[in-house]
Amino acid sequence: MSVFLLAAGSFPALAQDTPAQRKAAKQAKKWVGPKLTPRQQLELLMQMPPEEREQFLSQLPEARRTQLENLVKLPAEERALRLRRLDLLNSLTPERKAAVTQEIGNIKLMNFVRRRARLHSKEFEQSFTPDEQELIRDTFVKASQ
Amino acid sequence: MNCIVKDKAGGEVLMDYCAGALDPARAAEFEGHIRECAECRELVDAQRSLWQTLGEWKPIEVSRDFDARLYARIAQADAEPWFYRMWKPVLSIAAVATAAAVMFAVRPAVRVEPPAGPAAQVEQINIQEVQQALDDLDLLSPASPNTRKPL
Amino acid sequence: MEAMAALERDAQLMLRVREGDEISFALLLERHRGPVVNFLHRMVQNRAVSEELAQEVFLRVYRSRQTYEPTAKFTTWLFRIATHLALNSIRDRKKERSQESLSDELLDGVERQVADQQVSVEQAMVGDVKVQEIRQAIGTLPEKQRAAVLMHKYDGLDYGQIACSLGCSESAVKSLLFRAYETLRARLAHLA
Repeated sequence: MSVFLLAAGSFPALAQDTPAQRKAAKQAKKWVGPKLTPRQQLELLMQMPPEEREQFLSQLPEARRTQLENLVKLPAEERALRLRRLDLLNSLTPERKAAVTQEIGNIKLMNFVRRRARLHSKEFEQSFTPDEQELIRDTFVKASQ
Repeated sequence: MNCIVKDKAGGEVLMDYCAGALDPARAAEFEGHIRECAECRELVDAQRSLWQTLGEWKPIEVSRDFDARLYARIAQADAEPWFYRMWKPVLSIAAVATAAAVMFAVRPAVRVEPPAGPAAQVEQINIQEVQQALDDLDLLSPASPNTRKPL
Repeated sequence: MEAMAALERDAQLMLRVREGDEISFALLLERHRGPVVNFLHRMVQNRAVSEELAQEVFLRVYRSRQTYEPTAKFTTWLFRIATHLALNSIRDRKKERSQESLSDELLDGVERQVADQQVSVEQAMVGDVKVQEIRQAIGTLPEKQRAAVLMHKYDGLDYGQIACSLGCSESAVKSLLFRAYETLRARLAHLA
């Protein structure tokens, strides 16, 4: 991937630098930023050698360590999917994120029938964007069907 | 042209015609046929309107960070650590050449380390954000369908 | 050089990626990101899952760069990977759900009957009923029929490309498509 980050002049493909190529190169560079997203931070933690991770986790209460270890134990696909959903949640504005997390918390307190009614209600549809609805419904798969 | 409802290849003609993929000569021939044949005309009308209806399912916008995530995954998959690549823009070609010369000279003894080591990575981890992320993940994890706590 | 000129644009880009030019990879991503994500979204009907699968598609493309040979159209190769991943994901999810339902069907049966009645009334009030119905009609097609229709209708792939993506003959694709459209015409006739 180093090509993105090196001087463009040294690559023949960039000799005819079209707007599309410039745009693509700019997009390719976007990911390089000083601040890591919560997902990237978790991924970094999961990739650390166990002893290094343990050292870092020693700053956290036991319950947190268990949370992370449970995440590490998940099958790769399932883990990626959960982290993707975390990305989607964190891509919301703070207000929308608060609304979504509050809604999930409220629905978790309901029984199956109420959950189902809420997830298919007009009020629910009107309160959340389609992406937010999907994020919430994915937490209640059976009740959303 | 034969009736598409009776012809073995009729399905293909119907699909291609309604998708605009039938060559002009065959399309003209087919149009001649449907003017005469009510059964085929009905089928063409139904397929055309289905084609139009399906078109109402519009594409979704891809998340803005899609590429960023992909490049991060690619970087992870590559042998070279990603934080090394972050520093590459600041390395001049001369510096690269010098480094290469040094590497070549002392190759058996020296392993070239990236400018930012694992410690630099750890520094980018914010403990509060990690805790928040773990809480968010907990909240987002699928709820048991049998949870029957009272309201 | 002449052979290179005869190759389609995507294959040329992919050959450059093979040679280490990653700007070409960024261009390929730019061209195909949307169609791949949308194909997968329409297949699995879930945004998070479709984006994860699309990431995997492009990751596989990148990983295969060294062994890439332009024997088929690039789009065909791309959709072959995407179809394979989508079908596996659908099967896995189906398996998970059937296991889940075994455990809670008895308990929730009565409650669900009541809820279903509420749902149908409420769903009818939802703004985009039409798109919901299209999603549902396509979602209930058998997997291969669904994949074939999506590639044919939304991505403009020809029978040969669809056959290659699904690993079957062209005549099998025509038959899959014909049956799928027949089903959809019946299910969606009221929307015309």
